[in-house]
Amino acid sequence: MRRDFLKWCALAGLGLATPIPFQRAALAESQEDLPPYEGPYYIVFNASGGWDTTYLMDPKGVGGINRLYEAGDILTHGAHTFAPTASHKEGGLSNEDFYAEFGDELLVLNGLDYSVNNHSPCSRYMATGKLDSLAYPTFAALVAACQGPACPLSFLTFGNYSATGNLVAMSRVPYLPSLRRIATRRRDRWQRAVPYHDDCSIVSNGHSRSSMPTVAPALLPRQQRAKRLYAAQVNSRSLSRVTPYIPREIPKQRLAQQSEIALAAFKAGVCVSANLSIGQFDSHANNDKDQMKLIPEFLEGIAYVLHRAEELQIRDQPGGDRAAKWAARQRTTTAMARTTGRSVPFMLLGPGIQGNRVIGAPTKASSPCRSIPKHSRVTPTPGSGFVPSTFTKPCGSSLRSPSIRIAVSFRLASNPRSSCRVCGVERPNNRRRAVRRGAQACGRDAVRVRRPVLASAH
Amino acid sequence: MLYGGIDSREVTERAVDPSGAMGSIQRTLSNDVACRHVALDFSRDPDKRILFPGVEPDVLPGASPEADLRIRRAIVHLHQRLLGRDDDVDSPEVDRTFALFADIVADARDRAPFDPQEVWSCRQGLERPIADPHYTVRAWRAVVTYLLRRHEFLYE
Repeated sequence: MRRDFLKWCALAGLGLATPIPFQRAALAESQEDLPPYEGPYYIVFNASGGWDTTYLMDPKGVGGINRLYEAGDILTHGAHTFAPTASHKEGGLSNEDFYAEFGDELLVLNGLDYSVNNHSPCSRYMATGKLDSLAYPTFAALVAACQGPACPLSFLTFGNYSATGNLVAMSRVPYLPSLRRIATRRRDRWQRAVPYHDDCSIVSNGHSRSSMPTVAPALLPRQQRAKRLYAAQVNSRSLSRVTPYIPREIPKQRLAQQSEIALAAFKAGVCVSANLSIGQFDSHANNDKDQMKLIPEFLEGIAYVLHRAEELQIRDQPGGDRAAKWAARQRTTTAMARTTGRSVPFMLLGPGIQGNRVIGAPTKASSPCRSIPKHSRVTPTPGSGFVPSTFTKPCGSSLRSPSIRIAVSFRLASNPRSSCRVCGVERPNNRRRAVRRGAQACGRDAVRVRRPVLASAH
Repeated sequence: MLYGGIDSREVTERAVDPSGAMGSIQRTLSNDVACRHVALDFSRDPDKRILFPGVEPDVLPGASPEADLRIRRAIVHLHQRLLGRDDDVDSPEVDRTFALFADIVADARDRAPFDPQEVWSCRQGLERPIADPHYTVRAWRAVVTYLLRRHEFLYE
């Protein structure tokens, strides 16, 4: 029967559904649409595959590592060093242009040791901070669950590792026309809204709901699933707010297409976080050629998002009029990282993140070393750290230990514990000694990435 | 993809929790399917009907005990047909569905006059024209829409 129903989906097309929010779980729901979510918004960019970070924020130029430039060709912008790609790129945005525009807002974490060389577990580790569990949520899912779990498209994902930990439902809207279909009311040939039901039907639903007996709270898993189902149906009415922000022309770039969907949802107040992803970064035989095609495409996508966010007025301008209360609430935070490999860099950009900084660095041979030097320990303060106080508080103890990638730095700075993942040597009261023992056991000098406890970042 | 599927390239795991996008699709399709089939079913001969074999559009709630019983039996049939439930005519679930149907008819009566036929898009392809002077056809359509959005149907 359900298959027949879905078969009708294809035949009937999509249009407006004037809702009948009549079910049990909707008893407590208001007939009014959800209020729009007003920020902050979070975007995570995923370059899926083992892309070559030495052609971006971790340049080497020594020992034959790079064929396109030497150590003397490495460029700087403020505290950043980056590889020159303007003369080698095939389309997209060069490192020079990217750092010139965004370098002052950019925070780079270099040399985080994930101790993984396999794509799938590294993607999971990078996204959740937890290597040996499939249950932990990704960062984007976590903030969505904390900030706006009732939003219809609270956590929007376009691929890559997207586990939610059952905290929030993930939404996938692959194409802009798809978004238009689920958001737009059914219209006739003159583009007038055509409702399925008259007002009296809807009013009657309200009467019926109020006359229903109070039902017991959903206790069984099946009841809980039904409750989530009805909540999704009721909340989806607010998707109609997206319609004015859907662009008429669809951009050709992969990231730009995804970002238009995410930004329209942000602007409409129906989305908290988005997980943007493009693949094919795992180059082998044609490393230089592939990287010079993909990294500029990736940077162009990031720049596109930030520019469009400015056009839609959902991005804080650095140095702009932050006194304006409305503007101060609008935030777009972006982050990107490598998806596999031992030495993983991380880029962060957005309000509350102090830019023009580089923390940590791998060795010249791209081996991991101490990621967080003592003199640059990160001390989060409300309103100035990557995890703002408004984010951590609603989560509470039930959502602790979510293992946000960036929280690693908090943990290393606040708790001098270190242990080896292979041999398990641990000295919680003497970090230097623990690192030395770990190095002896594993044959390398590395600070292990431990699953942080979010509460410790307070 | 919109309904939680995969494309075997970037997306390789199905979404199991209903999102707003899935909720929107459920609302839309339940409306579309009910719109297409309710008036069409009433336009057939009673012995050939699938959804409403034992009730006619002129059977009004509250008109008589016999009329209410026919409506309740029709609801029981819909529950069995769409949800796979075997409810009694006086069960709470049937009471709830009956209340929806009766309230819609009562609201329409209070707001009279209204168009005495189904909306244009929902009366296409009928075997014979169906009048709706009491708003019952549209009320039955709302009932079917409500049932198609139920968890028992969507997660059969």
